[in-house]
Amino acid sequence: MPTDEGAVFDKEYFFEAADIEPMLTYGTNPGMGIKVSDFIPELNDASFEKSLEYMDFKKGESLVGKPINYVFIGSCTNSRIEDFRVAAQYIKGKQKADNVTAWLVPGSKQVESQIIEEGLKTVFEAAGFQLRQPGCSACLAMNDDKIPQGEYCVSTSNRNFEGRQGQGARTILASPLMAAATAVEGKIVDLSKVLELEEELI
Amino acid sequence: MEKFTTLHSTAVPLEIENIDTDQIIPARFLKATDKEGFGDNVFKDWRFDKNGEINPDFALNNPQYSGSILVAGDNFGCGSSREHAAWALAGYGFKVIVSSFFADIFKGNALNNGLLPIQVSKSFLKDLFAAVKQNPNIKFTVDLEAQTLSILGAGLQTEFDIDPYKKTCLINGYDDIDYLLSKKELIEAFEASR
Repeated sequence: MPTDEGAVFDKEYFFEAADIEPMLTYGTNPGMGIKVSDFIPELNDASFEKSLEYMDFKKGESLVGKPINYVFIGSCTNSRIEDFRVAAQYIKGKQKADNVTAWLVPGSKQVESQIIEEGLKTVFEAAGFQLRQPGCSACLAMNDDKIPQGEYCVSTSNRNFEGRQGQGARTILASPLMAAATAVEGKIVDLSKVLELEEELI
Repeated sequence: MEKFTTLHSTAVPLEIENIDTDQIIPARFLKATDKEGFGDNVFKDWRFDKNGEINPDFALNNPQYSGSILVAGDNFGCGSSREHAAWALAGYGFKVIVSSFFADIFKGNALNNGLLPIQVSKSFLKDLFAAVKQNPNIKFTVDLEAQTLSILGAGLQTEFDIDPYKKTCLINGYDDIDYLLSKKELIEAFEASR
């Protein structure tokens, strides 16, 4: 949608596309996020420290390389057909890591049907991902899709509060593509580097 | 709904910022068919550890602190829009929550359920925490009519804002339907005139 010529805005922001990286959260509210290549900030604040203690992360450390046992691609935030297409494109021909339980939960019955019609289900199942019933699922863990105590889950939902995905569960919010890459690698990876490497191999 | 005019009570300090509705009432307790009974599970995972043992370090379990006022850190009630959060706090016995900022949906839910959210400045909030910690028995006074919150014993007083409609509702103990019914005669007169 192009802007009218001479349009005036209250505020204008300019971004260098090259500076934009995949984002991840390290804490217990959605604002506690960093670029994947960044380090957890070093703040001296009681609420901040409480949050890191819950997540069992340390100030100044990187999330890259952290082993992850649960991956959830779903929720109202990131379960459009486009999200599953992106994930499937990455996953195709790969396998999820042995340590990972990977759940895919479409946002609606309609998206579920599209996943099947477009052949994405076959791609996901061949890679060891489970396609589950549409709904809220592990976004808020009101049904059986709960993350166990103390486990990390890379999740495409938009809430990472304490216990959100199950009592004692630790949520790391990320994009569908980051979540797919985590499931394949079994740990958090710097997606930009992984994609660059894949391009070189092609 | 119970009428709210003035409240004279001690307070419980919960000096944590960004308290979200998942902490106020965890999702596994949301399944119910009415508003009753949520108070038992308010702040469940902070009041009890994973083995179900009482966490003595949590403010609500500290025998020094009691009362129907909760003083909480900035951005209280953020997260999901669950109305259960307001039901749980009211069910536990709180009538007033004081913070330097409330998430908007939580604020609306609280007002709809007779729980008064009072927003104060960050510096005033700091003074409140200091006063309660110094003397847990110190009494707060909330005067809704005058829109003031004070601690006479500490020489602290501030005014607070509230939507005039919600103020009327709280003072009269009305929910939205009660308010409408209170205007029944006017509505009937209007209907008769057209």
